[in-house]
Amino acid sequence: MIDCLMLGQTNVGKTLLSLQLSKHAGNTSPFVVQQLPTGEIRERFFVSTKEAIKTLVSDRRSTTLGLQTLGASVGTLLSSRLLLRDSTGLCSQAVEDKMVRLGMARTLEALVKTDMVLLVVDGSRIQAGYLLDEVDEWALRFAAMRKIQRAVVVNKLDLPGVKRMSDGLKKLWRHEQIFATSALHEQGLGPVFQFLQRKGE
Amino acid sequence: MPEKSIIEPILSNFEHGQITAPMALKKLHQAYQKSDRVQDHGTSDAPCGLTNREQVLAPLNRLVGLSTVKRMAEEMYAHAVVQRRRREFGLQADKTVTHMVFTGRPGTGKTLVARTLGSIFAELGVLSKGTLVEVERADLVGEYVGQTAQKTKACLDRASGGVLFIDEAYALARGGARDFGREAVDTLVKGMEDKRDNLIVILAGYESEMQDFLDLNPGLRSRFPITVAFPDYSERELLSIAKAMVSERDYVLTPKAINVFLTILRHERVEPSFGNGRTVRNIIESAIRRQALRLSNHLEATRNDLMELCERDFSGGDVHDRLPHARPNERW
Repeated sequence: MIDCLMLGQTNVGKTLLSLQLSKHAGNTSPFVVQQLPTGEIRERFFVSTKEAIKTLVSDRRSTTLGLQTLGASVGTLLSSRLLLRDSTGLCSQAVEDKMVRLGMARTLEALVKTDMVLLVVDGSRIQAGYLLDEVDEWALRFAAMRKIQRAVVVNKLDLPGVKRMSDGLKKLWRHEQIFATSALHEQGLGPVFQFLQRKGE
Repeated sequence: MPEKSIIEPILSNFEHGQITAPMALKKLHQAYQKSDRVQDHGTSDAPCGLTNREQVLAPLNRLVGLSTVKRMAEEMYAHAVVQRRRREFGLQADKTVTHMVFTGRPGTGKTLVARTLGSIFAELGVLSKGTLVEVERADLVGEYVGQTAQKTKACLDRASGGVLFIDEAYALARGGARDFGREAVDTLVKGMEDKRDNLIVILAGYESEMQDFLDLNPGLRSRFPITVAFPDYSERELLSIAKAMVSERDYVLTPKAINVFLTILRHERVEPSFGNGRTVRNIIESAIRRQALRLSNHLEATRNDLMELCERDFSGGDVHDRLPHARPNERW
């Protein structure tokens, strides 16, 4: 069993991406275990991915509080399973809401323990000069320091200018695994899934 | 893997809102680094996720526009790295002359780039300190015979290990044949050659005047092999400069304010006294002052109100000073 943490800032599309990835793995009726920041554990079963997206995903920031675990079986054997762990988005600024802060603390805690990290970045928010946000940069450094498997997913490929930005990033960081996806339109999920499959076996 | 007792206080600090997420990650990073060192007896420095090049050049890449400067800095970075690698293999590592001439109109970022380059070169190991010493004619040229050489030498000593930035350098040759400016130039050239390894001299000024100045002394042009032209910023670049300036000070521009700002900019751009980045800064600063005036007797202003610069801050109040069509005598 391998834990894979979806990490990133608020509103970059971590929840949607993890639901779509689990759908791509053939898991059309997702089973979600939510660990709320208060410590409460809630299990939710959805009939279809569409329904799950309707309930779990919104335009507001910090819709996901605490950790959301999704099972996605990758690889040829049933025994090699991968848990996609969706997390509360981090942000560089100070946060006033206590619940959100607790959720973020859970994210950091999960980052300390996880076996694998998918850093999700909003492609339309990358600044000129291909500088990542402070929090993303430190998360990536931390993952490199722990020597765990990591990949960067540039999401929101459907927005204008993101394709060019992700191509630039790929050229700049040859030593990092970089994928470009659009979780909304289910584009570019294949390579990410293959990456998970390779490492998950 | 560090102990739980190190990680938990960091997380609880974060939960109580005492530190932000990047700071928490930084601290976790440091905790891991320490515990790794203990295990490896301090032999390995953990590999970094990001390459060094972006980190070194980041202060320059953050600036708007200036693509020629960025390209030049990249070349120099590559040169410094390759020379260091050559030295490791016992090959001869040459030191190239990196004195430069910056030409461009006022406010195009010459001083800013000089300062940034100084710190970048210090990081690359080309310069020992990377400080910027900014001088003009009055600092180099003396009043009496013999004073000029001393003054210039003192400046060179002060700048040693960093960058000597001579603004409006053509003024050195302005005074005619009996002026001491020539002596200053001669001393400068001599000092540059002596301290070649640890000093970068940058001459700055207007394009045409700088060309005349360099033609005046035949040896001068070859001693400054790198000429960087700073073009005027385009409208879009000026806007992104303004946005960066505003967000640096924790303000935001409303869409309408951006329109008004662009109108002001279009009027200012045709004026001969247009100072590119400096004019943008002045416009922004006066808008900030006028926003303060607008909010000063508005007690229940929210956080958003205090951050927003709206169109009235740009055009309101002393609109008659701002918009050129309101001062016909001056323009027509």
